[in-house]
Amino acid sequence: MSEKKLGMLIDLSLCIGCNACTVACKRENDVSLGAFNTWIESFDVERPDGRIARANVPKQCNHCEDAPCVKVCPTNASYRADDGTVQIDQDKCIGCKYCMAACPYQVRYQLESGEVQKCTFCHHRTSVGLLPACVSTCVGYARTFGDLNDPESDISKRLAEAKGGEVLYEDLGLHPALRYIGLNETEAMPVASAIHRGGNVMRPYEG
Amino acid sequence: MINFQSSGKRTLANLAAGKLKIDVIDCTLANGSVTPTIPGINWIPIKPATNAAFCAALVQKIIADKTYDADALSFTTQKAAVAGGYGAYTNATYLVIVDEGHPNHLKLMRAADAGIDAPEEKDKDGKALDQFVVIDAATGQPAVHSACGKGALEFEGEVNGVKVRTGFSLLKDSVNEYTMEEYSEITGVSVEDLERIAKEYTSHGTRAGICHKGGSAASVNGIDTVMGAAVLHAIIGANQMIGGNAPNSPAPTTAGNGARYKLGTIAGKPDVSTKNATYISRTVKAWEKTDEYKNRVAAGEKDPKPLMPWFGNGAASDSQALLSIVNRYPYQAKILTSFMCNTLQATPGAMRDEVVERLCDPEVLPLHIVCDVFVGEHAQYADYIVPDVTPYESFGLPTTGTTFTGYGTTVRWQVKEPESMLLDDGRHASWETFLADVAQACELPGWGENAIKDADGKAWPLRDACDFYLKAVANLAYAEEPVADISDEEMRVQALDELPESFKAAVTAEEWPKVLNVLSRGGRYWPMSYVHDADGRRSRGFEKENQTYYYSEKRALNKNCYSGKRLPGVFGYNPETFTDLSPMTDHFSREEYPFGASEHKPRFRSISMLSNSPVMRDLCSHNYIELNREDAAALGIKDGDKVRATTPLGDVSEGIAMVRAGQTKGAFALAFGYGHQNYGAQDIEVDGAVTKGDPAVAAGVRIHQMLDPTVTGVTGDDVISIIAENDAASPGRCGGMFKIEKA
Amino acid sequence: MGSKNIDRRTFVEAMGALGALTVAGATLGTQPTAAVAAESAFPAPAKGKPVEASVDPKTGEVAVNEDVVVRYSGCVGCYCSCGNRVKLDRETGSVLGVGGNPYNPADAYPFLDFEAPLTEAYQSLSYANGKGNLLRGTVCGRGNGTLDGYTQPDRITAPLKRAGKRGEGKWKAIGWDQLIKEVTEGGKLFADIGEDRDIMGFKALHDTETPMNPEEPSLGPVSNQLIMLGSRSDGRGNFSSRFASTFGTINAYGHASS
Repeated sequence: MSEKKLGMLIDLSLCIGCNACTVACKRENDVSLGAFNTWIESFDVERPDGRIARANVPKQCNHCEDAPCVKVCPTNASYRADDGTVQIDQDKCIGCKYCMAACPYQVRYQLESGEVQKCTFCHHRTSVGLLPACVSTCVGYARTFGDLNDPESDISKRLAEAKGGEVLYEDLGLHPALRYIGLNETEAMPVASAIHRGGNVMRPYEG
Repeated sequence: MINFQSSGKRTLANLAAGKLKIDVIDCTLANGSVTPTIPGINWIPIKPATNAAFCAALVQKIIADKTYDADALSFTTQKAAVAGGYGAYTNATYLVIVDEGHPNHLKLMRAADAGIDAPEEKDKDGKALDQFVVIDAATGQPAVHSACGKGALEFEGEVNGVKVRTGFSLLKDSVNEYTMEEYSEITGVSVEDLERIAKEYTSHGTRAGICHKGGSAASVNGIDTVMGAAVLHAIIGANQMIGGNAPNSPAPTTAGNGARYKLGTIAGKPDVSTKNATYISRTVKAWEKTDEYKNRVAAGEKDPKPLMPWFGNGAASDSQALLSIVNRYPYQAKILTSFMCNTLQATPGAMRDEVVERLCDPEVLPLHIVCDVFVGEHAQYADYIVPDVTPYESFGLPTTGTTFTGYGTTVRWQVKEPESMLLDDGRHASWETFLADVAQACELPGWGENAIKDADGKAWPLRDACDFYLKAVANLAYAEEPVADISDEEMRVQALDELPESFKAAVTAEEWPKVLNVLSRGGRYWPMSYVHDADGRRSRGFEKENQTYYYSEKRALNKNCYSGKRLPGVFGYNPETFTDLSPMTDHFSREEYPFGASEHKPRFRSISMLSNSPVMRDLCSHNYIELNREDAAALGIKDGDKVRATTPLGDVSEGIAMVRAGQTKGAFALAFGYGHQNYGAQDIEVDGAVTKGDPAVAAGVRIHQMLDPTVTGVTGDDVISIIAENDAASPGRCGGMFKIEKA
Repeated sequence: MGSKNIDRRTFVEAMGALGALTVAGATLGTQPTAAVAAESAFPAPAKGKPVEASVDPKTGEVAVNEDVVVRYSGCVGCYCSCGNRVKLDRETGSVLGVGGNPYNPADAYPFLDFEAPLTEAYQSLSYANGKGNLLRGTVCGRGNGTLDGYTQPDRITAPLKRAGKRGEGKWKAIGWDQLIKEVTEGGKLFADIGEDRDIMGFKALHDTETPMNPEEPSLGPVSNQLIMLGSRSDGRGNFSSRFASTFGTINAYGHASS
């Protein structure tokens, strides 16, 4: 069997936008105020049948197999760990922000100290077999986590049913370890409200 | 209270599996199960304070199509219903006296009214049981309800020379007062959807239900929503059936007279009850039953009116109690205490200068004591603040919300040492400690030494929270079958062997390892199979008698204290009224004030809590005035504009517009829990050291409902009264009348 | 470097909240601190909180982190009365985090049988095959955020007595015995700030015989003029109602109708 490759699957049909994940992440990782390692984008959509629904799309580091952030990092501070996740070695980070510019998902942020941060897939938890904080408290069981290389893992079984799931910006060919179910179908629906990040306006509604 | 975590998990799983269909009838599309890609669920926008019209439309259609379960509705007793394969019965077949000249007009007919000589039946306490009259379905003759299994649903005629009708036939008239098109106009729900839902609802036998809580009835006409949902449950025989409706959630006795301790029995308790005392909230007692009414009539006053409304059918209400306190009516509060609550902030329309001014006046309220962990709105106006413990430091045995149909109870306990002041005797300051000390100073019975009796008659002391709640946990541990002792290993893993000695001393040595076992699981829940039988009903004695009132005698007889008007005993749509039951639209123009309010539970705040959490504020800094995009366009309002909603009396709710498709037309929505004045928003000076308040805590807007113009400033020059439900006394949170404009 | 950064972040977060503040010399709502021996099998992570245990993803074998205690209890993030899980530092007793209780049907569905050993609860925290992905205890955003709300530095820990007009926001810290004495004895409690009013304390109000209003005896005795508000579906109402019924007032209200 090949090595471990940790991944996350989010079934958007089951995400009720309660933001348990967001709050749990902030507390678990002491994420600074104003910054988020994971967040939910919530907005109204028009379904094909004309009725209105509320979409909730959780976002965070995609832990790409071909991670642009790792490629551009001049000091190898950003690296792919043995479990396939993308991590940052803070001792090597010089705060040049190349990685922030390179990440198409815009998940990285810089602290006042210069340190660059992002979701680690709760490396300290997942490295000992525990679920990341966000998955562990997911009320709708929308989030599933595990080893993508183990066909017997719960995530592999769910992905098999979902034909591999979908990824954000598939055309970039980055092979993210963050997979979705229902992403393309949701994104095809016309947006009918502002897009909120948590409860704050990220993009106002133009009508 | 609905438990959204529990219901959310199960509805999502069943929707995804294609085993469930849901229509969500709500003014506002909340974040929830109506996701874009899940099958089987629709959001149906509805105007606030019109839920009863929606229910009435469904009942009208169901009766017209005869898709109701006539069997289920015809059973006259619980026994007959259970024998017939159901779990509950109704009074739909009971006869109502509709003879206006009859002394018992509007009452259900009793055996004596019908001239039936029936042997008296008594309940287990020896109280004579009512003997209602039905038309026996088998014979077509009048009979006492308990003497026949089934009654005729539809009857209109005379019994013993008295004009009577069945509750069902009265209901039929009530729901037919409007056409489907009119119901559609009132609710904003299309006739097509109303008819589709009525059909779907009656297409699954008893496996359908209406999940309605909180906000659905939080309007001045809210009781009709509750009655309407009850009628709809019973119309398909769904009560106490799996997949249907669970009208009661059984839980083992814990803080009462349980298996080990008699926590509900107190020797030497004073004889003060609703029999010889009156709630300051003016509830549970009808105006004409008060001494004031009787005195004023005796003094020659004709038809006296009270200063503030009385709600004969309403339960104890903290909102009404607060308004009574500031009005000093029906009597003055000498001491007000509260713990961890914020009635002032949470009562719509109550937190206003006039109310606060009176709360600050010691002439109005001589002593005000608040127990809390922060200086919230109540504590701000207190004389003394007692430090409380947090939920991680306190005990409590709440039962999970009514959507859980199983059996068991959650135990919240002191999982960490309280950070409140440590007292000399080893206790920590808290609400419980305060009460125990005041009780002992006043030498109240049931406190201090020999306060609580156990099952063997031995007396135990009560000085601290653990003395009481750990005995409740022991009751839970010994309920039904006693649990096993906790293992040494599990005790060690959870460090339960390091708990304070006072915990251990609160129960017997034999009970302690069983109490620890319950603490280690945070409560005790039995497997679902424990309460459900194979054919889908409550079993093992958990199937309590359950009767649905198709006709509510209590409501029919409740005379409004101002106008003398009565509402019908059957449910139907009653437009929003003020306290005297005059329609709001008789006083103010709907054209000028076309909007209602629809408040909803916030995700980033909680009731009056959490605005002090930097993390929660980081996720959402303020709430919005949510508007339908077509309404907004008509008003020239864009997403993000500052807007104001104004009542006819000039109350203003001002906030940032969220323009969206997920809000019903004709109403604006607010997430409650925002718009604080205190709770950390204000400066606090302790022993001369000032801590500056953080205005971020106060961000957002709370609903400013109007005061009741038929009471405030009318019955007395300075009376302040909120708009409220005529029967329940609960505040009119949703609905009302507003105009909206750009601020 | 890692631990230094955590200290700084914690500091910044606390400052961002409300600034430094003590009330009446009370201890601050403590932020969790890591106190784990360097040679521990579960070293303190450079980032994030100490873990509860390790769980083998294949076998589900559990090794508990002895430095951390996990206890199951109840949430009061709103009025739903869910269960919760509280993670504590064994040495300091401080709360490291909260989560859901897999034994509680509000938090998990399916939920763990009462008799299931605690090892199964640990497994529900893991991605071991067939475990936490299928059965896990959760709490919502409010339930997670409640810990943040209750650990703010402006928590009141000692009794406060009004030191200005009511509503003015001026207080002085007093001792527990003084608190109990004053509210039970009554008297001119605010004479020190120039208020001459005589205030009735609990003892004087505890008259369960004399009608508060002889003209209207059905209003109840004098003792019925004690009004008690509170209880947020938190299971603490029993204590209040016991006090009310022994004191002689029917005016004990849950915080429900508002």
